[in-house]
Amino acid sequence: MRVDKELSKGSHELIILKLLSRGDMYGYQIVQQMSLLSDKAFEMSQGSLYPFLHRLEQEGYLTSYSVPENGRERLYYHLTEKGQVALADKEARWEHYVHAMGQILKGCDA
Amino acid sequence: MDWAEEYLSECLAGIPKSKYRARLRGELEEHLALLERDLETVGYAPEDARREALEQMGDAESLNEGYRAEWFRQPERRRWDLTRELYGCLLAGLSVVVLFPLFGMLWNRWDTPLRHPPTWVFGAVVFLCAALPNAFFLRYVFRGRKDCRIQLESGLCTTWLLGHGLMWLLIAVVYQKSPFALPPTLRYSDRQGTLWWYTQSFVIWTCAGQFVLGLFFPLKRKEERTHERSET
Repeated sequence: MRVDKELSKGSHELIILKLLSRGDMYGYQIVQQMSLLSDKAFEMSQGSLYPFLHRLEQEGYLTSYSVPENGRERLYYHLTEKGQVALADKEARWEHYVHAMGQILKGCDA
Repeated sequence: MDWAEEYLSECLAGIPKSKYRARLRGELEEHLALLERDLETVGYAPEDARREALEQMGDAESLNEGYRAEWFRQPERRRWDLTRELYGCLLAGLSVVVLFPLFGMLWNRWDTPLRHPPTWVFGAVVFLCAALPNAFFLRYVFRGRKDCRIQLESGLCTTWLLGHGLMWLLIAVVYQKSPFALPPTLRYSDRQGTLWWYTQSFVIWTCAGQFVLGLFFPLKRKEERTHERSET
């Protein structure tokens, strides 16, 4: 089942940071990994990934470097230390959110 | 990637030639190529793979909104704005420096049955000759931007002040006096009617004129307005 677009919007930053914590990736790879690891539940219009990446780079969470690949320059993204701190913070917030939401949903079922 | 050209142009519309545009274009091109390749690998016919790749990339118009918003946040954008404002300044500044003495000379040599036309008419013509090309230039450069009016206003007023500043400096060099003491010196020591063009009050009032011009200058060209009207 695909996650509702509005619901998933707020989690794209966290997903991107988390994926990049596993290793440097380029845009297409990030989208593929996102789809693969979430069993296609998290899919975004692929072109909208880049503004996210550029904004995270602006905020200092990511850096980019290019590697020549088949006559083109492929841009890889790398998670910075600041990005790792942000990731830890976002993960904690996300867990808190999921826990709180779980409590409510369980409470309603009881 | 000829097949994607139209799509990419739509996606990148409104983002001027810059490092950011080149980077974004490169990333999108590569993304599309990889997506097309993978779709073909899983059995899509080439034509279908291209169509599906564009579908999965997303609607060009809504992507364009996101890209433009991101371009607006780029530090390069501020440099780009500044250089365009500077080009505008050079354009109108040169007009001031060249047109004012030229028109002044014409005014002083005018020999018609009316003798001299009112000096303010000349002043207004010079003002418009210097201001309008700059206004058209700034509108062209910042077209489609939310802050187009602000850029137009700041460009027009800054240009006017800088143009006159340059004019004053040139006169100061020629007369070998302080630029601040210059306008009254000229005004009272010479009978030329055009010299009030170099006074502070003229500069302040015409700067206000630039502001008013920027306020009412249409941000869209006539064809664009007609096109919009026909669409509605």
